[in-house]
Amino acid sequence: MTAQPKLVGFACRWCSYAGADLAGTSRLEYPASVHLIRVPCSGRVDPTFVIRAFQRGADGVLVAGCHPGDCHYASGNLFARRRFALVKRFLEYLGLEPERFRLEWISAAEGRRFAEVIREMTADLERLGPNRKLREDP
Amino acid sequence: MTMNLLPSERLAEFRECLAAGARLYGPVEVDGIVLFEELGGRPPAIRPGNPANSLKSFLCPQTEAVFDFEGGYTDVALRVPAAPTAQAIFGVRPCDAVALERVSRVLLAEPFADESYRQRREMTTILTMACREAGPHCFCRSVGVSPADGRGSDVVLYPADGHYLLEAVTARGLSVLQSAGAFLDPARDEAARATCQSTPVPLIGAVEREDLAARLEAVALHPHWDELARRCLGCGACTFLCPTCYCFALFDTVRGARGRRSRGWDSCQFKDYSLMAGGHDPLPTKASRIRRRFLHKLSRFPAVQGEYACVGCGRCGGTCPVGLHLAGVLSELEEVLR
Amino acid sequence: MTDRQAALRDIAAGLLGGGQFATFIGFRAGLDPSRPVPHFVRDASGAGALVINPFCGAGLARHVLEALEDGPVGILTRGCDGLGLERLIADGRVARERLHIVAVACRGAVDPARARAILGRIPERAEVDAQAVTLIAGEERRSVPRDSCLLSRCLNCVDPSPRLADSWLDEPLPAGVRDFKAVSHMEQQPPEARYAFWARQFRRCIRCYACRNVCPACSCRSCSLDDPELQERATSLADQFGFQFTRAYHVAGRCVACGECQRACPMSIPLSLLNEKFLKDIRDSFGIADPHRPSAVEPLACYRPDDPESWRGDAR
Repeated sequence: MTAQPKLVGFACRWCSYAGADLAGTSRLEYPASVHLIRVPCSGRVDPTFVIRAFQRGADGVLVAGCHPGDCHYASGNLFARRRFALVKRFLEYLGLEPERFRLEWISAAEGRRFAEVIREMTADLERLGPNRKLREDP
Repeated sequence: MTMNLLPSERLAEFRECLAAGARLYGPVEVDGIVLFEELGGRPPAIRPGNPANSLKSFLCPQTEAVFDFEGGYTDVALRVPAAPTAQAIFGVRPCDAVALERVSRVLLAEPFADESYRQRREMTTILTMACREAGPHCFCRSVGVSPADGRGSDVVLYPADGHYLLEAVTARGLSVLQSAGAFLDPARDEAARATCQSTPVPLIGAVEREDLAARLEAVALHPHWDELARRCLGCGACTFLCPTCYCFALFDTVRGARGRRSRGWDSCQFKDYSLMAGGHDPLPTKASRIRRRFLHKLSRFPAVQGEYACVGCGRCGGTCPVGLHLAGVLSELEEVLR
Repeated sequence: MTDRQAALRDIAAGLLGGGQFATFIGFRAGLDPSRPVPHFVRDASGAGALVINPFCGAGLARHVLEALEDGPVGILTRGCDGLGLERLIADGRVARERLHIVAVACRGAVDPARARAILGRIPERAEVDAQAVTLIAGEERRSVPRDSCLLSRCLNCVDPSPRLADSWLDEPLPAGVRDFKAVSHMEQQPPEARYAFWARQFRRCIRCYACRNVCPACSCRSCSLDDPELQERATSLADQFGFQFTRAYHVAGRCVACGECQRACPMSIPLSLLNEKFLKDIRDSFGIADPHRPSAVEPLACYRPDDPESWRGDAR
């Protein structure tokens, strides 16, 4: 049996982190693969955080924020959308598999969606196997 | 010294014989650029002039572990890296080998010999290919190095038509030749060496040896350094690629309770290189840093060591993004002196 | 050619002689005729040292930052320099009115290393036109295709003439459209091949940061690359990838595609291939036709409420 993949999730505190909370209080099942990091806003996530996660052993990285239009700071997620649209493509350009990085909108009411994203991503990462690219101890 | 002839067609076998007991490095072409790398069976790319990197990559690497640490405040376990293993570097140009001899004067000086460098140096065999043709930025002869120089080498190969004349310079070189005896012919070809000794070197006119140090000191405070500083980007590529630059800095990489102390190249061309606790910086401007590089290499180092800290390899000039060639700068300074 | 050089010297002498300008930035002959070097003229009498020829390869834009400390600057400006100046102006680092831009149309600069390899010796002169390059040394003249000996950034150039100008040395050449051929080719490789390619390139990086120091979009007074907490100094392959990502991302949306980083790289790392990937995706994702030409708002400093989520169509 292979070890569970390591998934690092950056979750906005207003929507996605609360969505994760709801998944928990609703007793929804999802893999314990995700290491969730609460951030003020998806717009706070510097692409360097994503690189750091891969360097230090993440098999996949998720950035999750409020749906467009719902940002607590009005536009943070809209900046994040532009930024990570580019970053995602760039990571693929460097040779990372597309499944290893995702940007998702998960609201505070979407506990089910949160569980689903984690399940999907974990399954993808299990299929791909451990990430060796960009890792400092490959 | 022992001399032998090696027929050109047996050069590959000679290299294989070197690779038997050591990791074998040499110049190879990768994506259009010639670099010293592990040969791994590839034929070496012996071209006029030098590969982009110098032998520093193998003797004072870009970064290397000093020790790994683990633990808390009271019990820290240290682990030092394994001792270096034998390596042989083939196709080195004489200037690069002489550079090792210069660097060793500093890094092996007792009582503060650099242990890591000493171990690597002792495990390294240098097989030098004397130059029949110089590179476009070479100026070795003007800093007292010859295209047939044997200093710092273990074996020198002098290329001739159809064969190489091999000269063992050190006892280690002698044992290399003994172990490769099957390929060698004890005949001699003095002409091969003489040919390399008289290889024309392109840029020597720009750097005259006579009183160079004194003439540089005379312009030490000239405003022309400010002009050079305008052009210089402060990147330090010249120092990283220079075979005689040996500055390094220590740094820690910490991961929770574990980590590594490493050392890596540092450059006097970087702002903050000489910044001291308390905020004083003796090299506060780019002009002062450029001047320091020139004076150190051509005046201050020779004052202590009797030789230049420059071997005329031409890397600084060949790669500088704004064409600040050491020889070019010297000829500009000559101009302003006049 | 010589007409332009004479005109350049006249303009530079006029600007410096007028007392308003402290410096004129151009090129002077180097030790090696195929490598002229950036030159800073301080008074009218020094203008005679200025040269223009197809070996003038270095970018000049970034040099205005330091030169402006002494007063207003006149500068010889090709298309790439012009974009760099636009970047510095847009970033608030340079005031347009403190520059006198002497525009020249550029047909490409010769890569001295490639030219020498072709000729077997250092070329003394070169002629560049739209079809070919002629390399000249002594009695020898050799015509070769442009793509065999121009700087790679010149082969990708779509801006032969600057968009900003105070005086012209010749007629401007029309701008073109970037085709991103090299990026498209890379995109079509399998992920493993792409990773192996970049690993081979990044492994040889010596971290001199010349790419940053020449870059007109990298003009921050203090740089995260100099902070060991933000950019560790180790050079494992993971660190090399991290550094290269950081550099490329930090100029994404602001890169003017002048190609100076790649030209300056002492280890010949194809940095433009990274910058161009961002430019291509900015064009395709955000509908900005020429993202390398500075505009009032940078593509990553703005958004549209209906920006397409194009990545959703990808293999998840």
